[in-house]
Amino acid sequence: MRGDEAGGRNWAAVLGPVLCAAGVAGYFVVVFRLGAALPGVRDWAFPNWIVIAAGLALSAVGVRRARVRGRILARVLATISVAVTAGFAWILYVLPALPPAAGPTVGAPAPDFALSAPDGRTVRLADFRGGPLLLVFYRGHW
Amino acid sequence: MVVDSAEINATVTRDLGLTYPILADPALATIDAYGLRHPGGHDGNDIARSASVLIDGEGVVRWSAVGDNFRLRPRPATILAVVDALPDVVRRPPR
Repeated sequence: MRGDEAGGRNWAAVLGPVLCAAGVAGYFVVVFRLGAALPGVRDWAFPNWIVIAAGLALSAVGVRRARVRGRILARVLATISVAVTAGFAWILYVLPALPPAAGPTVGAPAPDFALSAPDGRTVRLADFRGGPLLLVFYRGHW
Repeated sequence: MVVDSAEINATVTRDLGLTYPILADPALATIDAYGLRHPGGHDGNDIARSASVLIDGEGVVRWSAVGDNFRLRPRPATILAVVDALPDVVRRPPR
């Protein structure tokens, strides 16, 4: 559909931000409902980035094809596409970024501990002799 | 392991139906011993960073995953593959 023909609508300009928003919204829907079942999507959001890239491409097409009267609107819509994309990238890569940390030394004895379990009993590293033990550290403040 | 208290962890355990114990380390003593403190990681409070540590039957650290993005954690299949690749991670008691 060509937006520069008489009477034509600039669908590309409209669909651009819609696709970007759909790609972003789809990510959170998948993660919150199916996250454990689709770890590839949860970790890399790759189908979502493809949808978002298509939205950005459509926005670029929409800006190019805009007629004089529709030029400002096409650019506003394209800006929305870029803002949604940037916000998504920030949530995925900037917000959860962690500073470098040494962590435990592989090959060295694991540091001992004596900590309270939820039922009040004390749990120690020695309780797990015979192994293996997977110790998972969480950020907390649930 | 987490900085929250045992009481809070009990609520989380019940709400999520967890089958493993969450250990409380509010003083971050063990978190520091494992080199996993995240200064100011949550609203200015120091917390643990997300990490997984595999310890064998002798109490030796054999593998760890200390990522740089808390969205990305090792998957169960990854951890099982690590355990399978370390056949001596389980210590058999002497007969």
